[in-house]
Amino acid sequence: MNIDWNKFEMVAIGAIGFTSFMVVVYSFGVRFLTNAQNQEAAAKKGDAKAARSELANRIAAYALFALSAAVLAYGVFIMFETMYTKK
Amino acid sequence: MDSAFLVVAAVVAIALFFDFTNGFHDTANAMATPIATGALRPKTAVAIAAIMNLVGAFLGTAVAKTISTGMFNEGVNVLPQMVFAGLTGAVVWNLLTWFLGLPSSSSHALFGGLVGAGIAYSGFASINFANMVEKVVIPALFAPFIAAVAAFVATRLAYVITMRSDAQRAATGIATGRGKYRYGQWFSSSLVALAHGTNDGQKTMGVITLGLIAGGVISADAGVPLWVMVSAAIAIAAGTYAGGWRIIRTMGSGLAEIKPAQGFAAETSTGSAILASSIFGFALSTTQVASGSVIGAGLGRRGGAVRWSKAGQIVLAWFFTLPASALVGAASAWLTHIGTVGLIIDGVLMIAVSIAIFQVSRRNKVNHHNVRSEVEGAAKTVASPRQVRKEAEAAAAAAKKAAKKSTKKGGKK
Repeated sequence: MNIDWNKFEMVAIGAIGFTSFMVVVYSFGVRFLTNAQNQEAAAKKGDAKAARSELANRIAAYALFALSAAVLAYGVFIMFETMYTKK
Repeated sequence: MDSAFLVVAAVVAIALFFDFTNGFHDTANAMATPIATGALRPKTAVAIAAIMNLVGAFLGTAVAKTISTGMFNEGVNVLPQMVFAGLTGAVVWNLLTWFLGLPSSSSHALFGGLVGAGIAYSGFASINFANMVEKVVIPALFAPFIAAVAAFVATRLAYVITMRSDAQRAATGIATGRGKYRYGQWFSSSLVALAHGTNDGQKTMGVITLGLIAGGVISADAGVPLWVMVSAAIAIAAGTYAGGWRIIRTMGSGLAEIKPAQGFAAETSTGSAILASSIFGFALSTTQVASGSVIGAGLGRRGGAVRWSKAGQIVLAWFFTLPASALVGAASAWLTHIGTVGLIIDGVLMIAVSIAIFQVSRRNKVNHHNVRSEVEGAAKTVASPRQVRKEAEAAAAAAKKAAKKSTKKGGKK
């Protein structure tokens, strides 16, 4: 019996790495969006500093959500491409 | 009609039925946590899972090849009756564990059934144990552990990143915003459903292909026929839509109390572990991976608890899956050995057992109405803008009606 342990190692690294990356990116998105939502009221009252901060947080949050969606899509694409090209 | 053709047709039929049971047995893998956290309504969740399973089943055939070519040693005469007997063992075990609400592995039930039937027909030497150990047994031991570690790490990270100190909260009124993970769960649970379709949809394709090769319908080096892919994809999607509510309840609330951030971490971990394994053709159990992820996520939250007694029951079921389904498969093979009459008796017995299990399950029915009833602190379901509008319209109409009624009453007075 010849078990290729490298494959298991790759699965472990891939799964833990990919999961951690996705969750970290999404979590920062959640944090920035929550910051933005909490400054919304002050920004509406005309506080310029709060308005700037709210906009910056919101942009950062949406950028991170978009990044996590793109990474997810790319990850799925890579995996299926590998499966198709595998002999 | 040729009896050999009838046997192959029976194999295809039971394989598709197995695929259906596999679908509803495993809906929980993707959708138990989003249902438990309120990220998705139960019916919406199973509909999404069904669509993603349908799509996933068409993507790749690496796992199908593991089953159709790697289970038995070269030179072993695999008979369609043998495949039929193996599938009987898998179906019976799947239905029994579904009735008990235990998320056991459909894949291992399938392997167990086939191994049992193979041994009954051709002895121990017929099984390619080396391949089985590498592609089935070792992934079964490692995959849940890997998924649990990934989910644990990811949950910890999610809670650290979104953490706010009590002083900060009191001073600014800022909340943690962790409810927003529910939106992420829409995508992460869809990823799991897609991965499930890729992995489990292919298993049935592999078994049908094995039956077709055994029946001499296609050659051993032929790939998976298109009609096999289509029918297997439809069967698993239909089963998924039927929803295995009993197992959804166990996975969503019985194993650990899951909050949205944990659900997101668990699903991402499950999806990535399954997809990474699929690349290497490991026919791993999506159920075991999903259960491992839920346990990892349960432990990852400070103060979170895992119900170890339930986890113990589940692990016990995992250990019994291979031998129990192998025993049923072997008994079934003994019947099919008799000939066509034995095959018919076998089929009738399997149908009778399936009906009996369904009938008994109706006494304590679990469906989309009561699947979340036992979830402690289940969050309010995230409603779409359309649903919110509809609910508001209905409330306004009811208020208008009540006002009209009271005006009429006032007028009469």
